Amino acid sequence: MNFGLYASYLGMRARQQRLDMLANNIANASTSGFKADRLLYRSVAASENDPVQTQTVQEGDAQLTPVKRGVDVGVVTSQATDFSQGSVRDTGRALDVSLEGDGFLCVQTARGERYTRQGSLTLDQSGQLVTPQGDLVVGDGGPITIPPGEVSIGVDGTVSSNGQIAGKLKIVEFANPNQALTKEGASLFAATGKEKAVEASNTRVVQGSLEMSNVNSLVEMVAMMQNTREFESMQRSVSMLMNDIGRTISSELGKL
Amino acid sequence: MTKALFTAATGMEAQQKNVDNIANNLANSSTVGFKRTRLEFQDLLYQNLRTPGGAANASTVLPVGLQIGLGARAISSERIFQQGDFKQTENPLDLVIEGSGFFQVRQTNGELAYTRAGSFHLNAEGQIVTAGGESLEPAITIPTDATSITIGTDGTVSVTQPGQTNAQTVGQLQLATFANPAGLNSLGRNLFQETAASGQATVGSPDANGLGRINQGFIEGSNVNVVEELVNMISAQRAYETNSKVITAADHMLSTINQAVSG
Repeated sequence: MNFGLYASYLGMRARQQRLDMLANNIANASTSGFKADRLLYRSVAASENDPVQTQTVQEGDAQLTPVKRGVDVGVVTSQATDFSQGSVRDTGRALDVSLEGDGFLCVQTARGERYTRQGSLTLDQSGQLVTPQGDLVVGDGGPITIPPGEVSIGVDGTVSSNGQIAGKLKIVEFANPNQALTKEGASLFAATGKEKAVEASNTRVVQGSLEMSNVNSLVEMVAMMQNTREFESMQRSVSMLMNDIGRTISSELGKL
Repeated sequence: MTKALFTAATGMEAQQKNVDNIANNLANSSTVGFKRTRLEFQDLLYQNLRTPGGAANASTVLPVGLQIGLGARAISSERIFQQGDFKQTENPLDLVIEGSGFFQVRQTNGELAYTRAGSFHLNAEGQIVTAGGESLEPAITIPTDATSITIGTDGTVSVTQPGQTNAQTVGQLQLATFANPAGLNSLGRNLFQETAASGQATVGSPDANGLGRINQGFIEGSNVNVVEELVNMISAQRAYETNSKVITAADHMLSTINQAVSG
């Protein structure tokens, strides 16, 4: 009975975390370049996380294990980011770029190099290409300074102004972005160091457009409803375990 | 779960700002020389509940961690300096800049400001001023007896006077550009102000050094696209609604807990 309660608790806790995550996805439905998070559930065997339960009880000659190895008593959660392409919106602004493919723009921050898919770039007071946060966008030869004039950005990321080449956007990719990157907020991803960034091979830069958030509000809403119902069922099992079964046992035991 | 409540609140606040911004764009859809703004959003901090690479047990490590984000916020309102539509007015003091650049005007408090709204007028002294009374910098005075005013593509202002066959040059318009026009501070009244983010103004004659050409007899309409703004408004409204649904869901789950406790 205790395990049932514990399993229900873990399930409810997982649903709470899921709601937190869904809330963040929904809050970022208008954040360009945002990648939705998904919560992954993994069942836990009783023996895995709780060493107490692996202790065996000596009763006469028989060794009793309270819970058999391999019985699932609940869930733990982990998260994966959905790196699929968001819809691309035409903006007509010269310094808006969207990436078609798996690449990331490189950004120089005070904490080191970071990666982003948010392509609403702008210039700073000296004409250098920066993010709205003010972090320098990395080119193949350092920061890119754009002289005043008509800016054009080619599909390979070459930035030119009035026909003069100012630099080339550095675009990198990761074989497994879920392991290689963690979210840092401010639309930036930080490398975990598990994987080296390699130059993107199949990414095209599209000028004058922005990649929207890949959050699908409908999917998130449905997930949220399902989540609430699951939470309710678990609450039902908690109250069953606490009241119905508990009461039955105590009343039956009382008759003995 | 109270996290979800606050996260949804940040989302609602961001969308509210979004609607405010759309409202201002729509309100200025007929303002001469108006440049629309667009809000840019970013995700907030992430809470690391499980770090990827941590030990799951003695032999395996967690392949993925658990990071939960804390919402969104509006990070910048980017002014889009796309050219607006040109409308022909035949008024000699209606000017448009075809290309980049701003008219340089002196405000009544003596400070310089910059504008794309080129519908100018004459004041009592014959000076060329904006509708708000700010004079062009350098100031150009039109003689009171002038019968016609001609402004060339390079900004040369000339007038013809009675009894004279040749037009006389009375001044030269100057345009200003910035390394980062999006960094200009909007003063309202169609005026922009130089900031540390925009960089210093580079002043020069029109139609040279990458500055735009002057066209007389036209005004530049607002670059607000009403249809686009309406679509943005609908999506902002929907996003706001969805965020409010998160609050409802979180509230529902909290009341479920209360039932469990009391039941």
